[in-house]
Amino acid sequence: MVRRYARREHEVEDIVQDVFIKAYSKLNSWRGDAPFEHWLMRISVRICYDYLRTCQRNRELHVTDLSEDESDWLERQPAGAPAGDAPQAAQTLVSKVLAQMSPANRLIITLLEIEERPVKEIANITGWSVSLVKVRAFRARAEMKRLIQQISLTKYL
Amino acid sequence: MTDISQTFKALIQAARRQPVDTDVPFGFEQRLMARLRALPLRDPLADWMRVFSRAAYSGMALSLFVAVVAVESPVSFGEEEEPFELGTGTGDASAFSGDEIFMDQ
Repeated sequence: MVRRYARREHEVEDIVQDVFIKAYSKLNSWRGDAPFEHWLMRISVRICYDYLRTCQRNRELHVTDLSEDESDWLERQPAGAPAGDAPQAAQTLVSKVLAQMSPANRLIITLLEIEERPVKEIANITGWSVSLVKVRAFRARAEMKRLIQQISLTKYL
Repeated sequence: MTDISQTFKALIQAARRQPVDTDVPFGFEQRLMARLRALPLRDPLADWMRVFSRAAYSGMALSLFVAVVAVESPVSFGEEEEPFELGTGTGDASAFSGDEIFMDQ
């Protein structure tokens, strides 16, 4: 799960270590009525969110950052190319787009769209209200579409 | 101009199909356990004792300071008060012996 938020292996290791250390030190706050996985997931998501907030920099994406394969995929994708094959270019492109998003929006897109978790569960994990999750999901989709449009426009200029 | 919604959906689909690596790096458990062992044990009683000892040290330091100021001060408390003179003032209690009440009777 952490690998969806951090790309470099040493960052993933640091985050996972922080998760386990926090879980160990806060073990007395776990109530037995809730599943342990949910409790651990909540800690993990919060630490990942903090990580995203601390390293939100270098968020300017230029078209020159896109490889030739990514540009090609972006160009031919709307023409009806099958989305099921998920080429490497699309995967790297979506990683780059997610890296440009704000931490809250990236978290929402990852939990809601990519991991396909229900809104209520996201609200439980993040500690946000259901309405706030919905509002942030709307904003996150808009931001992601804006970034895609920005890339597309820059590519044709 | 591309269809943004379609590209958005395609990117989300690609992200969903992206395999998540679940491999654990070599020696990760050992490093994690070493960090956990290095953590100081949290004892709530010890925390309270630490707070109380700090308060005790602060209190002792404050009382010592006040004592030093009181001893070293050139003005000794009680000497600067005006001497009490008998028979002065309107409300002098010592001038009233109480015999006047019985003298009128």
